[in-house]
Amino acid sequence: MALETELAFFNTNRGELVERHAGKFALIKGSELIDVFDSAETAFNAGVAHFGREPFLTKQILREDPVAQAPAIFTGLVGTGA
Amino acid sequence: MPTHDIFWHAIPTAQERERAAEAMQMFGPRINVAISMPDVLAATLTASGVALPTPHVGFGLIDTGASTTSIDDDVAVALGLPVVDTISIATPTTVSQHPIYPARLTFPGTQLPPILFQRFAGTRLANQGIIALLGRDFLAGKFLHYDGVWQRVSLSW
Repeated sequence: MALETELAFFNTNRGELVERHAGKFALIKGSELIDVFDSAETAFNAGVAHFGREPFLTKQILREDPVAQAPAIFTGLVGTGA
Repeated sequence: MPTHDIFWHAIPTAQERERAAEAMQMFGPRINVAISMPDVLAATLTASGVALPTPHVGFGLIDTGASTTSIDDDVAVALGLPVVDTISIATPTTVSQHPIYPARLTFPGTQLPPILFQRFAGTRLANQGIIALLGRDFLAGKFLHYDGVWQRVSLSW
């Protein structure tokens, strides 16, 4: 899975991140929090500036991850890719 | 207020109206979409002397049932868009994990304002002849008018 290390780090530290930075976007590389940002775009721009085309995680700091709804996938209009 | 009429010309003839209604019935409310890299990534590539991939042009289908806009996985990979996160997408029976790609969306042939940067879920769409599924986040701030009598859909913003 892509970004496995980064996602594991985020989930391990989610509670503390939510307490301190709820709603902001974390930039994570490996098992390191690089910084937090006000928007997804600024987090991404900083990630590109730091790491170029290497993989990095930008994730909104929320107590629970939102689940998107797409009923068309169920009806067969759209493949799930799963 | 700018308006984009899907499949309709400004003053269609009767024959054009009929063709537009047939197209709407067959394809649904779809518009031209071009997917490309976010500007900051494109600038990084250019500075490295790497040729930029050509924007991928295709159709985006408006889907009021989708909370989030998604783009085709194969297109994202072909454009070299990085995976920056993951998202769960729920259907009535399943929840599946999908990558999130940052991308730039423009709408050729329309006056719709470009989306210069947004995170999009990656799903498999190409088999349906579309490269983007435009959800309620796309419709935010717009009026969507569906006229089922004339099979006419318009977007205003």
